[in-house]
Amino acid sequence: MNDPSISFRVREVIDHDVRPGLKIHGGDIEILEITESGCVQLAFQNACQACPIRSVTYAVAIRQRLLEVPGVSGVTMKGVNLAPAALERISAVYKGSSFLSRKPEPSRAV
Amino acid sequence: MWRRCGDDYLSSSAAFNQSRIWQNLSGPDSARSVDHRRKFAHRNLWNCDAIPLSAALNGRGRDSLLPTGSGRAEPGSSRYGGAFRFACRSLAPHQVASARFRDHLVLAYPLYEKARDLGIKVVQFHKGFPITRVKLEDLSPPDIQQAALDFPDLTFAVHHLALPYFEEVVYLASRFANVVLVLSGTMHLPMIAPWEFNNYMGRLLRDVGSDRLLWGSEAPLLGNPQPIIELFWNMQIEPELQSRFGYPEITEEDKRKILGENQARLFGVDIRRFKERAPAIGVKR
Repeated sequence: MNDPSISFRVREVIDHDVRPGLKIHGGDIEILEITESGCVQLAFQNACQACPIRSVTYAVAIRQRLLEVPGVSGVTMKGVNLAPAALERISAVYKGSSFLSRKPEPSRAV
Repeated sequence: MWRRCGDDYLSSSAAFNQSRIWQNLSGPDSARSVDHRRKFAHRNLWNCDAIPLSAALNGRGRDSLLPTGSGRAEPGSSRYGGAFRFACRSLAPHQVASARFRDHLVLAYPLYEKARDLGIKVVQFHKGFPITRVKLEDLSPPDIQQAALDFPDLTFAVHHLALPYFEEVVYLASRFANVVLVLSGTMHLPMIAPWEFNNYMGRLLRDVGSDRLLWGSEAPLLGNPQPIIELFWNMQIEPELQSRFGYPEITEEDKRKILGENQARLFGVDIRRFKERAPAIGVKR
């Protein structure tokens, strides 16, 4: 992998912004791979694996958040089948807006 | 007889007791007072054995706001009273109880009575959207009916459109004026499946009305709600859906009610006063 800091930033966002929300609902997430091109491959764990709205959690709460991390070019989730049109709609809705409703703390501005 | 095996408490023993209780409520008895029915409910429930309250009220461990544990509790015991006092501080007993118990005369009604005593006007319920391995049928909404009838001064807010029990929740809300539906967890659906969401909205506007629909952002998990608010603000019910199903248009007035005016009415927020103050505290229109 060319830029090891991408991996660090992705893990930081997952640990601080994503995982706590999932754990509230008994779920979790595993990082399978972060490729050289910045594609993050993930897998849901525990309750999220069998949740009927996991496609929303993936596409909005995880993919949209991680795409804001510098260097991340794509986010895929094992076992989630979603039409490209849906992902394009989400990107269009969030265009010009941040997933975050407030700025991250200065120490981890990713 | 109660069996000590977690969920089986609820699925077998509790259901058995519930059916016995409802046998007493059927027929002419159903029109009798709550006190009268509670007398029979008590007799049937407590004759069986002491109920493990944490299993009955909580049953799902960490998702509950109630204390967990597997101790036994009987009416009048400190655990019984403590659990109710704890729950009564909350407006939203999120997955507090097995759904089948929510209209339960012995277990749930004291919660509603206590809420009323405390001046709480709205009680909220997680319906549908099963988390972990909660049994789906435990999250179906019809158990709200009797409680809504017996507590007409309380408003019963049902979250998540009770999906997959949409049909049931529409029939529930259309018949009970003190039931409101919260769109929590469905507000992102327009991005994934816009026709599905518009179908839900059209049906709700046609059969329930925009006065009893509330916005719910799920912002703690799903982030900044502003793009979704704007998406909703710009949505329309497709003419094809209007034509095929008789759905009305969604108007600006409907959207204002759903996005905030209904919540303000329920929780006593004076919107006009807030709007006057808004520029001074940095809130934009």
